[in-house]
Amino acid sequence: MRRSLRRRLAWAFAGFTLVVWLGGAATAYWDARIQMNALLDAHLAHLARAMLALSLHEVHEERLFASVDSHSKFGETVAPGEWDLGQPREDDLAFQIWIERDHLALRSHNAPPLPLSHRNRGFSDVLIDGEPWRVYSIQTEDGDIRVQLGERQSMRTAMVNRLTAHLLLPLAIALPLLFFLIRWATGQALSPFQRLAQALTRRGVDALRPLEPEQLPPEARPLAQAVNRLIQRVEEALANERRFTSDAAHELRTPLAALKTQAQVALRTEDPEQREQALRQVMKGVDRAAHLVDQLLTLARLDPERSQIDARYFDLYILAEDVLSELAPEALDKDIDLALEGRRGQFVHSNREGIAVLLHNLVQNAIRYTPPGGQVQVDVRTHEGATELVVSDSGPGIPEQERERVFQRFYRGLGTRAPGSGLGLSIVHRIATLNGLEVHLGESALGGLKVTVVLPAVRPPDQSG
Amino acid sequence: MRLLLVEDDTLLGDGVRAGLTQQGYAVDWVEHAEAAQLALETGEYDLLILDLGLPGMSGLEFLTRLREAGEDLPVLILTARDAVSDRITGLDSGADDYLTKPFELEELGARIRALLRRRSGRASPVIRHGDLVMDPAAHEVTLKGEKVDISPREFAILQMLLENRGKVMSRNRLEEGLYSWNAEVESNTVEVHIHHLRRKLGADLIRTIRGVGYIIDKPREG
Repeated sequence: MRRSLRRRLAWAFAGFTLVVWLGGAATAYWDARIQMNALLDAHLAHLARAMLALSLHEVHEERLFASVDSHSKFGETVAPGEWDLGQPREDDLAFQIWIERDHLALRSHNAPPLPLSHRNRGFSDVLIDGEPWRVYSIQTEDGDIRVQLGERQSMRTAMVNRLTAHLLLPLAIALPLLFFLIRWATGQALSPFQRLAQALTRRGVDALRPLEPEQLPPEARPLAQAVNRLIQRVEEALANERRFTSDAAHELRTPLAALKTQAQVALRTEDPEQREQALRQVMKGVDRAAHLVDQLLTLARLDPERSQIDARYFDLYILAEDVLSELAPEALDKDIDLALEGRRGQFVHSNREGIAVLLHNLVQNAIRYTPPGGQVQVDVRTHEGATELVVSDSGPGIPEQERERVFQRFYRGLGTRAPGSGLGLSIVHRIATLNGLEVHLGESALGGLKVTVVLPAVRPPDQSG
Repeated sequence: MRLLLVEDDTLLGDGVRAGLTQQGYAVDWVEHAEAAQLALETGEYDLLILDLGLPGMSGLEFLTRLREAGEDLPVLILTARDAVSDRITGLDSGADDYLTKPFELEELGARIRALLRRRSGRASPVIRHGDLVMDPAAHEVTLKGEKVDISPREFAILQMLLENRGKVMSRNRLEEGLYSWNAEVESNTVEVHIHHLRRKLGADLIRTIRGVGYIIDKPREG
């Protein structure tokens, strides 16, 4: 099963948000580092300059020299508490004050006795005890007094990290929240689809009202319109079915009425000859009703989908041979000359069973409507790239104005005494429609009806089967 | 009584004709409206039984045309269609009664009798003429309360004369009421039947108008 649209949307939105937010955070991190470094560098330089100024003052009062005299050449150290430079952590800052070029006059307790940096001016990055430091050196113009002020790099990194963490923390909270909000919002947005589904589910089979696309958001309208088109087709099919069932039931009433009437005649009569005659009629009526039922079933079984599936290659001439041999006894009974013209090898690609029923109906019709002693001829031939199946007879034919109507169900021509169901040509028409064949009615050279069925011709299949 | 049956179904037409002949009617059977038109133009009928589902011109169309032409013959419709709207259309097109297939021959007979009764202007199912009582439904005739043994053809002639009291019925008209097209008519049958009727019911009931036909007088008032 496909994942729900709602979840897909929620995940997609959350994922994109995360990516975009992370990208933003990374940019912010790099920017913060650069800005922070610039700021702290400026701060460091400022502080160093202030210390240089102070040192100058001290030197003028000769106090630093005193300390030089009284202490080792490593210089005096200042305890952490004695100097307050307003920094977060005093350990992170270290300084050295050099006088007379190479004499260390004063240093912070964490500063080594050796110079912090070899550079006498400006910034430098150095390693002290394996740790990276940022050092700013500044000295008087004569180089007499030099101040070196260092700042632990790790302190800077920690500050940037803290800042970045502050940026990321809201995301950690916002992302799940966002996820649920998106789910809710997409749920809301998709609710018309859900309502649509519920509305369709609640409907009965025969409630074929169309949906109202105007009440739906534009995205749902094509779906509703497609459903409407389907509903319309189903409605037409259903109406057709209903009409068919009704027609069929009504059509069965006449043979039933005939049976009943004949049976009543047989029951009432005193004359044995008339009774036998009536009972014979009953038998005939049963045969006819059975034929009608068969034809109805044939018509009902003509399933549009099966026609396409069952299409295969076959030789139309061989099929005609089979059908005609089945119907030959019926023709012989009426002394009708039944003939098949053409030759084998007329291949078509179609529904073989359907074509067999079609041909059977056409030939049977021809035999029934042709008076005794007449002719029925079937031609299988190729004409203008198509294979034609032509059934001609010497019967009464169908007047031109009636030719359209004979394909209607239960239509029976004027003055027809043949015991037809009125379904034969409807079946032919239906099979032709389902298989995309053309059927033409015309006048035959034998004097009666000519029915031409046109099938697209195909090359025979390469291998048998 | 002579009926015209229009039914395209050969088995049903044959059955209805046989059944109604058993009930003493002369039935002519045609299979489509055009033939029915021709039959109506050439013969006299007391009632038309019309199937609606005919090939060519439909029964309804035929009926509408018939009524438009001023034909007042009673018409009973036979049809496979039983929806209320179908019945309404049938009756509104000029039908007098309506029967849905399949039907009982008895019911068809009863409806035909009812229509014929109405046509002759009486409401009572039995015909009374003095001491004579005729019951068309039971095919019974009683004289002074005694049942009279009477053949179907004699019954038909008596009914025709009683339904048309005061009118002279020609020999030809009576013959038409007795025989359908395909029945053999013996030249003196009507006379033979009249003779039998007089023997059974009294000589003065049926008067002969020589060279013309027969008449039963209207009952005397009071």
